[in-house]
Amino acid sequence: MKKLLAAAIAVPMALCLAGTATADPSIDNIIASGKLRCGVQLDYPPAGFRNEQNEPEGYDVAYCKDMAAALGVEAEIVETPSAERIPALQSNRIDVLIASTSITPARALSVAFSQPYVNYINVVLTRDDTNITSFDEMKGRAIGGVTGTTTEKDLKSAFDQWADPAGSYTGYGSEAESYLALSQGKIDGLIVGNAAAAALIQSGQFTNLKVAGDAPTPPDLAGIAVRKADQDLLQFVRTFVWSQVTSGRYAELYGLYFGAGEPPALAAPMVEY
Amino acid sequence: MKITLPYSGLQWSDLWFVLQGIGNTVLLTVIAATIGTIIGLALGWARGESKTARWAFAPIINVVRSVPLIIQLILASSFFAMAGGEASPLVAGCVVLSLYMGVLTSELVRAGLASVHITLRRAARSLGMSYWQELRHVSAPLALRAVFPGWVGTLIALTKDTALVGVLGYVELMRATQILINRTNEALLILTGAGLFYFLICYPISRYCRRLEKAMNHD
Amino acid sequence: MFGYTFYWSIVWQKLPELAAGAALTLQITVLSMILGTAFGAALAIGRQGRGLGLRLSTAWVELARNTPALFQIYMVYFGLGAFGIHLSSYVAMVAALTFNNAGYLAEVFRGGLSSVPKTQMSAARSLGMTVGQSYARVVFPQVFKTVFFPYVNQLNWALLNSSLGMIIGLRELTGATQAAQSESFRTFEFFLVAAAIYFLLSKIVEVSARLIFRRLFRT
Repeated sequence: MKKLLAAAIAVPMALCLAGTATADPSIDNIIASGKLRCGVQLDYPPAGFRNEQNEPEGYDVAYCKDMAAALGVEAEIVETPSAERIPALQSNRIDVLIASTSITPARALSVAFSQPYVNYINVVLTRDDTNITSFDEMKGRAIGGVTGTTTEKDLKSAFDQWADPAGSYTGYGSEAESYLALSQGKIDGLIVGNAAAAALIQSGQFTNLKVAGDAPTPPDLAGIAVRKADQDLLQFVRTFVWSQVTSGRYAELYGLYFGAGEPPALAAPMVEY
Repeated sequence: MKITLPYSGLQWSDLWFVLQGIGNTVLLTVIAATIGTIIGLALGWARGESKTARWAFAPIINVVRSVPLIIQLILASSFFAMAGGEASPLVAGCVVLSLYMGVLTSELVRAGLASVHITLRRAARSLGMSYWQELRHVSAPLALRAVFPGWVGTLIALTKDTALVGVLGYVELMRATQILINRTNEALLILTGAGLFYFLICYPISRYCRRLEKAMNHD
Repeated sequence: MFGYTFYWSIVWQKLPELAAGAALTLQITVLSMILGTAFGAALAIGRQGRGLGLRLSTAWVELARNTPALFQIYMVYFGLGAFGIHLSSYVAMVAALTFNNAGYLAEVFRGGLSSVPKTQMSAARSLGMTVGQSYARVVFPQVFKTVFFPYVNQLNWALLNSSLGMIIGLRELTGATQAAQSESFRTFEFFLVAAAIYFLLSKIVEVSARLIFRRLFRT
């Protein structure tokens, strides 16, 4: 009886886990497998989104392809929703996380970051009919942001300082949802990367949205994350990020996905990464 | 320089994308239903026949029934990550949903076995049948007959719950729907289509199941 | 295999946020159950009748039971936008859960009503009770007893289903957990704690229901 029971549980588990293998993570493995697997968030335009063929595209996707080319391997894009980013990295389903991840000490406890590879400056995004023309005019209004992002923290601290009872704050699950909420009138304003806002408005999908000045937030510098143990890969990524800028490819990609204008410096004033 | 647009309208090729999502939903449902039913039969029988098994499996059954599936899925995925295994969203989803289906089915099987009268089982044994012969020819057929409508109901619940595996990045129908909504901003049309699919699968089965239950209660 | 170090201190720092999330979870659950009970009772009555009332209530019940809860939430949150109805994620969540609860509760109530033989009504009437008295003293107490545990079951489902709020950006327990883990990337620790909280809440519901039942129907 016991054996039968054990078999009844073990067999399906084995079936489920078939094809699962543990690999030694390192740059050699990437070369050996001929694939660079990048975790990308695909609800984060213009860094990650799906094009008309529903294939992954965006700044992060292009960045992954460039990195794969530099390694001489093929790029494989793995969609990693927010809660899956770290499990995917730890379980070796991806080699690098190129998902516009803001660099913070708390996160650096769990992953190893490269220096910044993209810089999000924030602007105020609002609808034509809200009369909001600057960051401070969002006081006492319905505003929103994407749950768990650094941008949200900045906006929320301002919101808490205003302490205006007429105001309200709503958190959304993805960028796309927050844009939709703004466009549909659920909220009146949010702060968002300037480039993303520009691309959004030019897309023609949200004709009633406009940019209303800069947000007084610190620069949102995002890095590429790898497993803490993968120091050799981290070194490579750092060199690669450096070469993307010096070769002019950074400016090119920036223009392609984030729109015209000067690409922002990949650094914060007064400090080196 | 040309800006690449993140937003684009709905087009015919998206139908193929949705069909792939449906395929993934069906794949996950079939795997989890098969494995889950096997687990459920074994677990239900073990829990029905042995006190030790009842006691030993109580914690896992409690957890599966009292923790939201979303959290079970995220935890399973993180757990495989910690254990160093490489678990795709399909594998994590398949493990969690199989277990879920198994636990629900085991409750039914246990109740089904309990519904077979003990005197009937004793009579069979006293006719010289072994434990297994009795189970195979007397208890199991009677119990499974009682279990069937409930099992179909569980199958419907499972089909609907596969929608949650999208949280792990598995592009089943609901996830495909969300991707298309984000891209095209055509929520109502896309959602209606997706809802119709689930309804057309679940509704006829649940009606059939209800009629069956009625018929069984009458004889 | 398990080279994973737990960083619990990060979780303890965020415990107030998780507690606030749990409070919101309870609020949504209770609100959607109260509203769901009212609508569910109306639907159960509607399904006894005929004509438009019957058709509408049947459509509601079948839609609620045969499509994923996630679909219902998306429909309320995104789909209604096409009609110019824009709900906050909180309102959308309560509305969608109410829709879902009402559908299931309608069936629970119908089952309860049909469990009391019609002859009892005639018997009560022939004893000189009015229709109202017969319902209040004879029919409803029995209905209440059969309905009690399925009702508690639905309450538990509502609690677990409220976790879907995370997907539309609501900071109930799962949403709050998701937000907290994304600040530090300690996915496993945070969701493990959330699972424990859900488990606790669900057990509290279950145990207190059993105690209440024992007090009400001492046998």
